[in-house]
Amino acid sequence: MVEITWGTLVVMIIVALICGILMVVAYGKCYRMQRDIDTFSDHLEKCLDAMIAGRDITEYEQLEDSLWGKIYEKLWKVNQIWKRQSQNNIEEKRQMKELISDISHQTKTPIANMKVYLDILEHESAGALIGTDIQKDYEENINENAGEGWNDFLQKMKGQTEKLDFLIQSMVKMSRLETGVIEIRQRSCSIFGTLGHAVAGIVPKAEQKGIGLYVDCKEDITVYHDQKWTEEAISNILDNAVKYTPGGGTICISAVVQEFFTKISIKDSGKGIARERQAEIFQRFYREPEVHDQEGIGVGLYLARKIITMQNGYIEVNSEVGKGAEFSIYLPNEIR
Amino acid sequence: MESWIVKTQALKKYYKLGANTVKALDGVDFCVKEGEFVAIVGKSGSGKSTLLHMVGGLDVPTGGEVYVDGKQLSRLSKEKLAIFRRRKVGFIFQSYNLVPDLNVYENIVLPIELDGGHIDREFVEDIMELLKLQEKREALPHTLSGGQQQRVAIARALASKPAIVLADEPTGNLDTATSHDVLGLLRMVAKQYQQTIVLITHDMDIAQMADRIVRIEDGRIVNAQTMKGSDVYAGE
Amino acid sequence: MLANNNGQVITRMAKRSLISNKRKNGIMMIAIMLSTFMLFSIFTVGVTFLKMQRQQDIRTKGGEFDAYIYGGYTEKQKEICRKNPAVDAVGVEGMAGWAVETEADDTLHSIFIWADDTRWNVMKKPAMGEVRGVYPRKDNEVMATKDALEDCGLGDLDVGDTFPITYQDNNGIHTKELTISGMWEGYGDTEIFYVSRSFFDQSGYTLEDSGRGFLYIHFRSFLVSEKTRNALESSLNLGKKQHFIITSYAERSIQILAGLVGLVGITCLSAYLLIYNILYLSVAGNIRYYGLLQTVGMTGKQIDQLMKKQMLLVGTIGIGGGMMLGMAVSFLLIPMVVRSLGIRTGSISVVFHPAIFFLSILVASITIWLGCRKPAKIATDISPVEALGYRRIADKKSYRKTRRGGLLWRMAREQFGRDKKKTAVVVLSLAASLSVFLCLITLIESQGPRTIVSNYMDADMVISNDTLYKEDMNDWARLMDADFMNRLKENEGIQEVHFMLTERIVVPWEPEVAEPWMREMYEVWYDDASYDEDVKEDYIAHPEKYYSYMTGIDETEFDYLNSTLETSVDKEDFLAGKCGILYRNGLSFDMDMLKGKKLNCYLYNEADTLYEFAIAGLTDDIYYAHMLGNTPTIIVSNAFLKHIADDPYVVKANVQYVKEYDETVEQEIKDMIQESPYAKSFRRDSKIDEMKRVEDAQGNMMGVGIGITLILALIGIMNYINTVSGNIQSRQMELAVMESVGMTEKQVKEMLLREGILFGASSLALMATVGLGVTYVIYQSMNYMDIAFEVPVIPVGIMVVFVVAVCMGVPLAAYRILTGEKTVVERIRIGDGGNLNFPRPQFE
Repeated sequence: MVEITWGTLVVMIIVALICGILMVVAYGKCYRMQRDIDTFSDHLEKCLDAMIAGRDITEYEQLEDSLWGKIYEKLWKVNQIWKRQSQNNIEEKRQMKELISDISHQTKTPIANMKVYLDILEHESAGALIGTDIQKDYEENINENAGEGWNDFLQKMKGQTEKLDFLIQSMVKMSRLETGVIEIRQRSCSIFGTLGHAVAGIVPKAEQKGIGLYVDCKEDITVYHDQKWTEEAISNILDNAVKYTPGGGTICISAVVQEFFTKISIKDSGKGIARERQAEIFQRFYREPEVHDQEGIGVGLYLARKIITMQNGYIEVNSEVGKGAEFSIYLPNEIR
Repeated sequence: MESWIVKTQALKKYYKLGANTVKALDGVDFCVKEGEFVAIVGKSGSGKSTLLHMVGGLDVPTGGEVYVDGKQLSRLSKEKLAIFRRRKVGFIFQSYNLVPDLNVYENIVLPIELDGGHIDREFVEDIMELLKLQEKREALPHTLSGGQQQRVAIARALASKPAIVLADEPTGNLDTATSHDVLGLLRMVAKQYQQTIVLITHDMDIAQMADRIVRIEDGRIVNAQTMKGSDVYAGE
Repeated sequence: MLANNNGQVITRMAKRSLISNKRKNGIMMIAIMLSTFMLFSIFTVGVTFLKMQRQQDIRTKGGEFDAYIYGGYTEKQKEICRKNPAVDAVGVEGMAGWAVETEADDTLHSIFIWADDTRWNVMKKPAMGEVRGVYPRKDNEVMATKDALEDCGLGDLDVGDTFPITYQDNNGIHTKELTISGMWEGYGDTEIFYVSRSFFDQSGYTLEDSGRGFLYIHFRSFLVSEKTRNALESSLNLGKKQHFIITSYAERSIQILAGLVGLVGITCLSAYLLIYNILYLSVAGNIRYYGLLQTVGMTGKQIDQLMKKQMLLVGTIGIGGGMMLGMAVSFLLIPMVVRSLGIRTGSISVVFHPAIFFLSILVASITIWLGCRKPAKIATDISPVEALGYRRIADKKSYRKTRRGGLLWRMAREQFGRDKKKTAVVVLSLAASLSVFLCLITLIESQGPRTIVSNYMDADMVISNDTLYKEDMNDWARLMDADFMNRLKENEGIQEVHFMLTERIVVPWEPEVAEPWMREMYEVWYDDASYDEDVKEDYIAHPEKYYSYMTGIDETEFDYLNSTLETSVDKEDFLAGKCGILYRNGLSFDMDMLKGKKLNCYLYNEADTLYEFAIAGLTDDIYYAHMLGNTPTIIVSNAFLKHIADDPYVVKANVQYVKEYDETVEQEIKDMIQESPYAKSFRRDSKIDEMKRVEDAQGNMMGVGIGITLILALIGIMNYINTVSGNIQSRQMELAVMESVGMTEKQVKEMLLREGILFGASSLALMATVGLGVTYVIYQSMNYMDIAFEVPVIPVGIMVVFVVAVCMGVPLAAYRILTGEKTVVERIRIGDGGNLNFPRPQFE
């Protein structure tokens, strides 16, 4: 018979009480945890439902240091990305539409002209031209340029065709670029060659205008780039440079290696670009009002920027009105 | 429908300094579109830093409202603002402000870890690659150069994929060449991940790198260069 | 809400910051370790002391009881005690007689005592060692100790042996054969033969007799309030001869425990101040860091967690180290300390209780937690904008008076008063340490004289003649004869020797002094006899039956005695034998009653010569009451005594050596005593012996005390060093700017020096006022020997100098180290908001 004193009894009761309390607390915790998990998954479900249906999900937001708050953030980001995607799609479609309408707009005039000239050729004898614009045009021309004959027309038609050709080609290039049909394949190769080709392309035009060309580029500079397309981009810029530089001016081309990028600088002494316009010039079909009559359709810089950006580089312009313009192309050095 | 990721309405911030009231911001209406790279330019004391602080939830306005990613900041408590910053904002400061105890990698993933989040390792590796930081991954901040530290700061700001990245004179302590590089990287990486950036500077050359320049003077925006047509932005 | 699972990064950051902030964390760790060590030691000391105190108590008293009644007791009183709810056990003893002689020895001291069952088995048990045999049942059985047997000269006997012994009780002197029924060993008075009830009964005494019956009471609880005790006492209705004596040392224990608790408090305070300060400084100096963390998205709660986790790590290591240190040292240290607190007997076993363990950890943890609460709050309250490198907002004051005074002093004073809170913390911490030092060292120094001056008049040795305590004058022997006395006087190593002489006297009846004296004497001290009925007639007729003693003291001793009396005695009269001093013997006489009265007496053997002494004073010092008689004992001058008596006996010799604690002389005296045929009857109390005993306990107290105060001082000083160097570090830019404006380095140093002096001076001032006050209070509360309050000048002086040196030296050293070789410009740049990641040249 074990002798149980009062003391032992009290201790046992206390121990039992403590155990009891601990168990109740543990159970309570489990119960609460289960409830929390239920709430959590409930929120998750509702949130996902809303996202599927395209509804606003900000009511589920919890800007607190909790598990749900964190998960919500990610869901929100996903939601934003989807929204953006769909907006981009809408945007793309719209751009496509624009592109198509631009194309049709741009091609309308040359084709119409060509049609007229062909008509004239066809109905040269017929008096069908009377009263038409072409007749007026023809009459004006006849009056102004006596002695010109069919050659004139043919020349004009040739010009329009070329223009058309140029337009179509650019469009095709652009749309191919846009839709990713053309791949940009970057390689580590000498930029000297690329520059060389591009410069070679505008030499005739530059000479024609009496613009001095200066090139400063070391032969051994290697840059991670797609030669063909980069050449195209540089050419476009050079084109512009030549276009906007008056006779007797200079164009300096240089390549400098920096820590991360290689900078290819094309500096002209042309009329410069106003500050406000400096962002606009890279837009599609943008043309400075002053050169409206010259050749070009305004996609050159747009294309150039696109090409460079696709190569993880960027283009900067530095210019002031009347003080020429410097276009800087930055291409990444190496990516390991 | 505009998707403004940052929007302020008649934002005011006044300080009391002795008997005077300093009007750091005096009614500013400012918006940033998603994915934009905006530069805020102004002289010292023009209020540009203050504007940044408001947008980043570092300070509380005296009047007006700030909305970031749909949230009205003036309604948030201090704790909530901290969490807001953690999840929605990436900061880049003039003096790099890396945690000296942690190495480069740990510094970069700090905001993510503070949220107990899963680290998207591939993404972080990508960023580190782009910013050329892999070799320095285990280095402690005080062993890095100024430019390197700033790159780490950029990586940190981007790693958590925040709604906005706020940069306060990020090239202020760097020499010209490094500045250019750093900024170029910032821009490139931002474009790559469609990250919205708001940058403060007093240097016009730096500001040129942005898509849009906003001028601020004496607490007000002047001569805001908004673009023609809302849908055509340079560089897209 | 499910909590976010983001604890890992905080833990990692906490660990990292430990590594990178080695200095600050190291300091805290050391402080925590020292404090925990102190706490653990103090608690262990406390518990061990309590246990040992109780043990010593029991052993000294010879049993476990808290109070007793002597002067006899009634059965009714015993019942009252038993029934009292506060009382746990009641035991009784009866004094049955005393041993007179055996064949082997005739100067016996042993007595016969009957102890009842409770007394023997419950109360005495804890004070006893081995007990063999059984308690006596028959009236010829005894329970003996070796000591008692040796006193009887029968040290070799054991259980079962029988021996004849002559003893005396109320019925006279008997010789009997006693059998040893059991042997016991133990503590307390061991020259006792315990006997059976029947033995006691036939001794002719009853338990109600004064001096025969003793009632022992053991209370239920350790702490019994005075109210309870008084209630019990009054419920007993004690008779005139009965006295209720409390023997428990609860009060003293409580005092010591209170002292220990105070020490715990101070330790915790010091540690708290240090931790608070360090953390506060580290937060204040790292505002940018915390601001950055907030910018990056750390919530206030997380920052709080970060700091708490840091402190957890630091605290765990500190506490762990402290506990280990404590346990290792305890084995050595505790016994020393406990002994010095007054435990003399036995070996001290250190008490290791798990409760002490947990208590130390708990208290240390609470201190740490408290210390880091405010700084953590400050860190979380930092607004990120404010922290991001924007200049500290200037003080709220909007104007400032230009003051006069030396520039450097002015600047020093301004710096001192700038951050009042910080200054207060440091000064307080230093002052606390200094005060503790002051208190402990004063107490320690006073311990010395307190215990050692237990001998009368600081005598190096007092030699007593034991034979003179016998009733029968024939048994008296002249131990210290002329030859002996001369040899003492001639010994070169002996400075002075004062002899106390004695003679037996008879005081005949007379109405003025003897009558009231005897009446009172019988009332107070004698139970069974009434003065008027039984004694008076006999006394008048045969006064020699009621003899007393005359003690003679020499001039020097007189001077001393005189200085302790209420009324001063005329020296000439005393020396001439015209007056004398009476021993009060617990009676209620005072000088008002006896003034002008005279005492008549004659020497025992010379009845015809009556002497008359004017009563000049009353003393309670039992040193002079060599033997007590019923009639008054009178103290006269030696000269006179020698004059009237032939060859008075030398009862005591008070020896003072030329050189204190001269062992050679001591040995010589010991030898002299051994040579005498009466060697055994000599008793000597030597200061050297006493001192040796005390030294064991005392010797190391100084060391321990210094150890304790050093630890506290160390904490206080660490605090100071850390604060000051942190201060200077954060002022680097300021100082550099001053230098750039033209202040020479020398001037800067002088300014810092003055700042240091201000710190030191204010701490010392605080110590000298509050610290001294507290020391005084504590001292007096423990001062039951009324030793004068004296502050040991030399150690305190050294401490003061040391503190001032530290206060001045640290700022200079910190300045020197921090500025190093850097130029003014570099230091200005460093101070500029503090780039978190070390400033490096930006041009890479």
